[in-house]
Amino acid sequence: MKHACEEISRLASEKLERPLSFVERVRLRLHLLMCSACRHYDAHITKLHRILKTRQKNTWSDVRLPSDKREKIKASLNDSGDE
Amino acid sequence: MDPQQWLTEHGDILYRFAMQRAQNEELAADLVQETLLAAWKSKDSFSGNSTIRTWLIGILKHKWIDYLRKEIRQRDHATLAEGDPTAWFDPNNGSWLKKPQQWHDDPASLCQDTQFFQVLQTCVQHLPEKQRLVFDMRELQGLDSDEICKACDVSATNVHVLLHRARLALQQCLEIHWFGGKKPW
Repeated sequence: MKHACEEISRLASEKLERPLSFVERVRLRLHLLMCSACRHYDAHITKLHRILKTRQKNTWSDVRLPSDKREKIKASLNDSGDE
Repeated sequence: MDPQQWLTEHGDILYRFAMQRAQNEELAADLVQETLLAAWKSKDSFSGNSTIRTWLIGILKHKWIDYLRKEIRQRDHATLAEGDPTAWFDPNNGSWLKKPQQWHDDPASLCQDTQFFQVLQTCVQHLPEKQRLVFDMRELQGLDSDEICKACDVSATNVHVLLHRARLALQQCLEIHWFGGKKPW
């Protein structure tokens, strides 16, 4: 198929953004069976997507609202309550 | 209904959510404050169908998208040039000009590898502005496509195209500067 790899790389990316249609899924699968370059590409961007997701969770899981900032917000809430 | 109690119970969660997106302590704290003030003002709109926490996070999400919209408008980079996607493929037959090679690193160990993330950050910074912005919102801040559409005033298709181009560029960049064993810059 003409422009296959270009099209398949697009589908590989869209797969991470929206559910692919049945036809799109079949085209992607079939092409990946035959083409190692696209297979690597698909694996890489999926891997990257997952790594970044895990990283997001890990990076911020211990973050707490610092007490000085908490006090400031507290005060502003009091002010608005007085109005 | 007591905003002080919201702050006590949900302050950390809201701040974490804001930090993940804003990655800046002052800005994140401002967002939490604005969220709680806005929630207090519109407390009558709380339907009770969701938990207070979900309701507050919903408001925070809106605040963040509003902030991004303003930022993006100010920068006005509508005219900035974007990378040409065809540069990755042979214009005659759409096959790869430079075929992706297999990566040998284990994803679990990459997650722990700060050097890998430095290389990735540098690769992201080298993206054309719009691609960088959209990739950052999607993969680093964890927004979904819908939220990005709202923030940037572009269609879902546009967001998908920008993400697609960003991923092409990043995989190439990582292949050269990380997996290819070349020293990062």
